[in-house]
Amino acid sequence: MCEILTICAALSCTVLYFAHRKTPALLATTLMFWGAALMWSVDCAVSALEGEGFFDLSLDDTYLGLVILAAGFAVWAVLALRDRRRARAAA
Amino acid sequence: MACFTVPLAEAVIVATAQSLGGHAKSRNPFLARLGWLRDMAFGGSFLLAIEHVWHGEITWRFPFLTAVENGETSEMLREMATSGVAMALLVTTAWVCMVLVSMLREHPSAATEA
Repeated sequence: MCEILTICAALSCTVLYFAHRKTPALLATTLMFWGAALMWSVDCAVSALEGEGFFDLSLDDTYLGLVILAAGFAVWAVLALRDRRRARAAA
Repeated sequence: MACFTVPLAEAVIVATAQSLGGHAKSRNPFLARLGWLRDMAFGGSFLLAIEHVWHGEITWRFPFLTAVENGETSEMLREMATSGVAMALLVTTAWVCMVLVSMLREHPSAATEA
């Protein structure tokens, strides 16, 4: 579920970036989620080669996915605040 | 176990190269977009580090990796050499594809001439 939630977050941020707000903070967050999704896909592939399922659909992994989403959006908030301060300082 | 350290090292190298070279305004499309690779590698490593903390594979005490504490260093290094390198290569390949797509979007005539 962690991988699935990360991919959903990456897709959502990508759509939001291209359709609505092309901000540096959103771009960095989008790239962060895509980087994590790609890295986890390697982990999932290794698990599948070892005989386990590609996706871990356990409740524990779902909670982890929610924590990952929270961390990712916390990074977005920090970057957005930083960009706003910089814009104000420049103005 | 510590597979995220390989893309993290790649991110550090890319960020260092960026800060030393100042490639943001470079005419080379790959150098100009090194920030994308840096963000993907750093961000992905950060989120994977959270996962490793969640699973107890990273601790706050030296040596910080439970695999080293438990004497599984060789297995950890093997995982870094396989999964870690594969992660770094996949992220880098995705970045190359992203740069090529952005080049085609900016210069569609180049695609038609090709």
